Amino acid sequence: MTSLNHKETPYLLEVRNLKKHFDLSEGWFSRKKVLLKAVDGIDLHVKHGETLGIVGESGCGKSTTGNLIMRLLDATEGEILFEGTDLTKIKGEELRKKRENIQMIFQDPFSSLNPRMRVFDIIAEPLVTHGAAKGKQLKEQVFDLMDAVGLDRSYSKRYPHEFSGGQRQRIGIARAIALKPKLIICDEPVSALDVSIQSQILNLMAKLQKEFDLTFIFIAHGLPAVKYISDRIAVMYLGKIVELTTKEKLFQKPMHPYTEGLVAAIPIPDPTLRNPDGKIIVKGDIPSPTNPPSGCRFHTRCAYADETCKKETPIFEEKEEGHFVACHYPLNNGKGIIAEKPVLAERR
Amino acid sequence: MTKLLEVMDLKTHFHTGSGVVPSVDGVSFDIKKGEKIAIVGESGSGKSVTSLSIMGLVGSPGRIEDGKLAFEGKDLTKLSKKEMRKLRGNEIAMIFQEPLTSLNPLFTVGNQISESIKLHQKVTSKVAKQKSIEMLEKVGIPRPDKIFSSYPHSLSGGMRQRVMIAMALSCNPKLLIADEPTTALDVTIQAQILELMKDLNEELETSILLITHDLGVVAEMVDTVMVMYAGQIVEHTDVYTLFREPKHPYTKGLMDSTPKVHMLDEELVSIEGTVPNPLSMPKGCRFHPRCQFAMDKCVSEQPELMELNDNHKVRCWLHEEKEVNLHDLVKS
Ligand SMILES: Nc1ncnc2c1ncn2[C@@H]1O[C@H](COP(=O)(O)OP(=O)(O)OP(=O)(O)O)[C@@H](O)[C@H]1O
Ligand SMILES: Nc1ncnc2c1ncn2[C@@H]1O[C@H](COP(=O)(O)OP(=O)(O)OP(=O)(O)O)[C@@H](O)[C@H]1O
Ligand code: SF4
Ligand code: SF4
Ligand SMILES: [Mg+2]
Ligand SMILES: [Mg+2]
Repeated sequence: MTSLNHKETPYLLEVRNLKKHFDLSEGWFSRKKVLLKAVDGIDLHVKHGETLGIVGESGCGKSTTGNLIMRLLDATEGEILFEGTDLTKIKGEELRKKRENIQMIFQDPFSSLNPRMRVFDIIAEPLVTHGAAKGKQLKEQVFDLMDAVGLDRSYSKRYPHEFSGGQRQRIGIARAIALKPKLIICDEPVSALDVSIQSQILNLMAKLQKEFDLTFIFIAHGLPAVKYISDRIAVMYLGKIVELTTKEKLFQKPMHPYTEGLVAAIPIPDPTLRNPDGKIIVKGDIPSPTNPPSGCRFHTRCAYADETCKKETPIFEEKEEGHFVACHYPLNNGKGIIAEKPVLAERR
Repeated sequence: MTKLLEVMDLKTHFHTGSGVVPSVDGVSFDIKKGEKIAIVGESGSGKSVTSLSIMGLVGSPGRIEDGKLAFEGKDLTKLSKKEMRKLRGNEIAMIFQEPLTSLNPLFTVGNQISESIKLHQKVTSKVAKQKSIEMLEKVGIPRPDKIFSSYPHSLSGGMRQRVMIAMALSCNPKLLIADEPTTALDVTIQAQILELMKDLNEELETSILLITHDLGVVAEMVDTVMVMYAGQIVEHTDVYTLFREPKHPYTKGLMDSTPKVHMLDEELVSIEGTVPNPLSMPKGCRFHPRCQFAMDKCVSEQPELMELNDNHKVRCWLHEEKEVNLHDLVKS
């Protein structure tokens, strides 16, 4: 282990000041450099055995973050410490070895599986490539994995197109856990599925987490899917994390105005709770990431913005224990959709 | 409230190479003036085909096999192509999930709205432009005169959906059919669009038929709900009754598997199995292979949509003799 690339961290994964800027300038001689700051200086950590949810609206940089950690993209700046090793600094065999411990599950189970491979070979592939098993042992392991994700063993000779979306996602999950990775990055694994199938997959993932001692990063557009499975949640807006805390705090007492709006925008599946007084609706559109607003990036849509917000970028800092926020005027009004004393929950 | 639209025993089937797909298989309901009604159900359950049938937009290999569609008493299936075209846009308007595919990329937003106004109303170009800008303003588009001369691709998804709504409402339709109008949008934008639709319904008394798979959206928006499964309505009642006491096991399953964002300790119970293949629908009750309450009768005989009372219909044998409470049934 080269000590140069190793840093002390109590976490399985720690990301420091991570940036990814895409250069969109056209032609070699273009005078003005156009940078798209897809991820623009984020800090987060993931503890062993937990699930960190990442939410935010389209284009805010969630997938880019996942792809950077996975090292599918090169970071512009920053550190990605996995078990203390900075993944941005290593390459070749050393990187390959570390990467065995990180796997990914994608949104689209249709395009992420090789259509010409049989289910058995799809699940077996990582085991074969990494020389983890062969022969009778391989067969046993693949069948065990199929059992674990709820796929009938008799399906092993079939091709992906013969399966429904939910079943394909099960195949993708079996493949991802085959090498017993320490971290799995799930990029919108249920968004493409029907509601009743989404809950099957979410329950399956929760079960496997216990069974195989897995750690998840769970990326999604909206809070509902993330809430069920996550211990802590990071909210992203235009390339930055604006708030990060436990799911309880996030839903009971959001401190960032964007989180407050995001939480309020979720349609609640109970008609008796419709039209609460003073419902918060975040106005306006998401600005273009090539030309983000000055100061606080949310100021064009924020109901609490003032002159300071337009000029000065708020720092992402720990305002209360374990509660990180980037806002000049963090809220303290407890306007979450779950009351701290469970009034709503008592209804049923 | 008077009946605006009556759908009676609608059957729309697709004749494909591998067999007949009974996409809509005997659907009946009505929409009253000013009513907001939703169709919910899983992918492939026949929601879109129902609305396309009403609009007269089912294309080959699909065909309306049977049934009656009456709009203000007029039989829609008897109208000529020309009369139907006149009705569409004028009296019934529709917005779709992906607004970009329904806007022409080669023409400005303003051009498209004013053309649609001129098609249905005898007004000058000047008046049409004025009316277009008014509509854009009404749907909450900032600087409407500037957006009037923009092309669709330069707008965000939320803006495009607003433009579609402006266009749909420019002729004061009596019925607006919205097929997953917010599914492709971000949640903060979805909240804006839903709010807009609610306001317009109140202000103009436009009836709304909303198609969605999101029970949260249903709970926020509508008065009446129809739950579809495998081409049929399985439950039909007002929104409060449906959420308080669902009577169909599929409806209950759908509710139990929807994340409860407003509760801390939520439990997600899923419906096992998958949606049936429309080419080989299960015999008996179409939900029986996935139903936790299935009995012998369910396997052999298909239940009718029964009336529990004049406000609640359900297609399930459990309630044949007397109404049962599914919450209690699960406990015992
Ligand atoms: N290879 C690339 N080249 C240029 N721009 C890119 C590239 N990949 C992503 N981007 C841009 O970076 C921003 C963040 O993209 P990213 O895919 O991370 O968003 P996301 O949060 O995952 O969104 P979604 O919810 O739509 O999946 C977007 O504006 C996107 O257009
Ligand atoms: N052009 C077509 N040819 C053949 N079958 C079709 C065609 N259009 C629709 N169908 C079938 O009709 C059934 C109902 O489709 P429909 O589009 O109404 O579903 P939906 O409830 O709107 O689903 P989603 O939530 O995915 O939009 C499906 O089984 C579908 O495959
Ligand atoms: S810093 Fe200002 S603009 Fe940004 S979220 Fe906080 S109050 Fe709103
Ligand atoms: S009829 Fe039978 S199988 Fe169908 S929903 Fe009712 S109990 Fe279940
Ligand atoms: Mg993404
Ligand atoms: Mg549809």
